[in-house]
Amino acid sequence: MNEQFYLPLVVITITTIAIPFLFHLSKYLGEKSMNTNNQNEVYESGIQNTHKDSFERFNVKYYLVAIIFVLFDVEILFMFPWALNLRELGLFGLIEMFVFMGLLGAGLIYIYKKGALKWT
Amino acid sequence: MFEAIAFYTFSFLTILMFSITVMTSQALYALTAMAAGMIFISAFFFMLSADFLGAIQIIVYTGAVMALYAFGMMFFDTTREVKEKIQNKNIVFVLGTMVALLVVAIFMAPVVSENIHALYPIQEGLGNTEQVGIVLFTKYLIPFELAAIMLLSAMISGIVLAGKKMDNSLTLMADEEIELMQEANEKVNS
Amino acid sequence: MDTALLVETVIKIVVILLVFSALAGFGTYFERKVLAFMQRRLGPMNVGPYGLLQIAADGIKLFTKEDIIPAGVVPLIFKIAPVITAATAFMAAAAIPFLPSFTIFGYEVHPIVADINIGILYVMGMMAVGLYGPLLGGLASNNKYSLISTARAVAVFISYEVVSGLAILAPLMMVGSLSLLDINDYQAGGITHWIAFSQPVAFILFWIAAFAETGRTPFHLIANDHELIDGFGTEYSGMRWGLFFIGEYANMFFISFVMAIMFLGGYGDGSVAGAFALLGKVAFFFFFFLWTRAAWPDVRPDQLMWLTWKVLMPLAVINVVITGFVLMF
Repeated sequence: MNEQFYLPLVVITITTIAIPFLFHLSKYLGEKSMNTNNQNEVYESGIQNTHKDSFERFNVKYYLVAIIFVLFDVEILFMFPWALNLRELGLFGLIEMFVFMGLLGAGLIYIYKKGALKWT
Repeated sequence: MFEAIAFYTFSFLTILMFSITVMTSQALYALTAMAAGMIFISAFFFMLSADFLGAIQIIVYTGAVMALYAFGMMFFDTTREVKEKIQNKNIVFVLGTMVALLVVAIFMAPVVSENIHALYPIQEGLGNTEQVGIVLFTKYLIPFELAAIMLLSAMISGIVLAGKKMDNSLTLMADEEIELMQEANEKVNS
Repeated sequence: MDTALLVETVIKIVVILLVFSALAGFGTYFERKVLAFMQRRLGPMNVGPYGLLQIAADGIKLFTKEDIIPAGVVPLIFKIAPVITAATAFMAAAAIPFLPSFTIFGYEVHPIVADINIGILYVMGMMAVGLYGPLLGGLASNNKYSLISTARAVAVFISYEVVSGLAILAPLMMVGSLSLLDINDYQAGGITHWIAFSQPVAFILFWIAAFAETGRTPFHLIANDHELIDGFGTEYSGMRWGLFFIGEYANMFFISFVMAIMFLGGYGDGSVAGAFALLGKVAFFFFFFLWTRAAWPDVRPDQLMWLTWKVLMPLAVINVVITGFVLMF
């Protein structure tokens, strides 16, 4: 473990989280909250709030985008070690990676064919 | 000294966060606590000088997998209390305890028998990411390609499972059509 | 534990926090002025000379607003969400070298908080965590606009993370290091060595992705004023909303720094002229964010998804493949 690198990270994490929390104390600076029902009502562009909560069903395509993203993200992160070692791994690594990318491309083509990314 | 303090602090925080995830009944607390727990786990990778894996832990688990969970949550009402149907509390308790003990036993076995020794000791002068790359593309080449095929099949199955009736949009359909569809669904279910 | 290192780190962090919080304030002033001049208006003029004190007035207003927690929200998450946006934005700054190292009173200062060797991956990871600000803020808000905005924010953000990840892959293949310092040193030879010239496609893809990741105008669907009020920030007021705001502007500055260092040569060889050149490049990128806001309309969500998955992502993959071939043969 290298203290020289990670100590600053710990310090910046603590400071950057602590200071925004301090900003929450600004409620004592301003007017005291009246806490009336009318004021605390959810903003609905001026009309009375008709629903008791904001629950809304979403198109499944959002979920599909998330699934596709998880997989592509993993594949991209697999590419990083290869990109840094491009010269050491040589031609063999290159072919290896193109097979990997070919599979990625096959997945992408399947997604296009299936219309999972067709947002109309 | 510094390392020990860091280790125990992050262990405590990780366990605390995942306990909140399991114990709470508010889905949003669970989501937030789980994301925070994932970030705290990455601290262990950083402590072991495995920076690349630490960064991947943050990007994949916190950035991608939790986004997936968040979308999963949006399909359900997060403010509603969910009552579980538990037929027999004893069975749940016994099975849960057994699984927990089994997991502890599996993870304690190498520690107790002192079988741990580093297969790839840290090379001086090379960054962690480069080492991962060299090992990945020489020794673990087949698993690497298999991982690609696994990812591909996961993608296809995900789309096949989640993408049924994808082109039906409830907002664009007339009320009668929706009723017809619901009746058809009920017939299938009954 | 090295006390000198700790003191130095704390001083650096305080300076970064102060400078970029202040710059976020000035950023709003510049944004209003630039937009105003482009629309042949004057912008803020009344408070102070040329409206300069408008920033102070806005700050006082934000800090002294009444504390409102709307009915039906999840209070704890509602309070945490803005903190995440601001905190992750500033944490990403830890791996960015803001200036070349210089000597002051015989003490050499490296204006980078931690030169971790996974630099750019760390920045990307922190920006990925920054997604939780809009996500939790919208989900906790109990407001339909916020919820729709959250769904859009997540979809847009994760789609463009794929593009930005693939875009930086090609320059990294050339440099062979993830540290932003090494990337800068690779281009130290002057303007002809800039990665932007050898990797124009990657540069433009990353630039486009930067707009999406900071939620700026052509991709401002996250808080599209005319359909979603203020998106995930609709229910927020006072300093909590201010934190979202600081986070957004700080993110704009930091991603401008990343672009300037990665593609436009950064501070070059580390001379004083190089340092000013870096600041100039950052200023240009920031101005470009504002310029685009004045010049471009927003795109539709479906156009956005179409653009990223069917145009930008295949382009980025092809770019990586070609770079691999060229570097190998």
